[in-house]
Amino acid sequence: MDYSSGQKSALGANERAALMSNIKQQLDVAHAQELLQQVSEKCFKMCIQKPGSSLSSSDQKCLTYCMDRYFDAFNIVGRAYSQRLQKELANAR
Amino acid sequence: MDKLLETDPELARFVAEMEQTSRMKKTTEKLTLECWDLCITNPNVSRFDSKTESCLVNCVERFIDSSTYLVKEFSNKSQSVSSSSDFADSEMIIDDKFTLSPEPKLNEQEKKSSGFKFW
Repeated sequence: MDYSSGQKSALGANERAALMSNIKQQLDVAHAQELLQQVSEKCFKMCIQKPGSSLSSSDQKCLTYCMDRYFDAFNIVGRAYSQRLQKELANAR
Repeated sequence: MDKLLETDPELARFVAEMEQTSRMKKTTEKLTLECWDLCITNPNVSRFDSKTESCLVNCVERFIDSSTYLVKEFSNKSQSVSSSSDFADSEMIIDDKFTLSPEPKLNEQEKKSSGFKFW
């Protein structure tokens, strides 16, 4: 990355780096929140079919597994999507 | 911010890259939501079996096939009824829902940043 080229910029190199990491962090947080919300919805539906008087240990085990599997699914889907995009790109050339 | 981006190509590049990454993550999130319901019958396992994994992959492929197919069908239709303003409105909905319009842009960037991470 060539930081010296931005001479006319109002930002110094440090300021720019700070702004960039701030932007990235905010996006990461938003993304994590979105995923967490989806996990809560899906895993509640699949693991808590008969809500008891408390969250049983088998409920908790199911929720833990379910969350891990949701992240697995997200990664599998992401990989498939990215590979498809690359394939489409290769065909377009 | 706009003015800052004009005078700072490095920052502008970064922001464009972030926008593209976000778009891809959003699409992946949406696909995961849809394909989870279709493919996962039991999440209470220590790992997916190969059948579930290929279901997820097929789900993504067929979803993209379906939207591509529908866009083609749709443009055939809207050519024969091009005067109707209803179709112009619906086209916007397809853009929003299936995120087809940003994809060509995505592809260009994808070439450059090969080390893209989803998670």
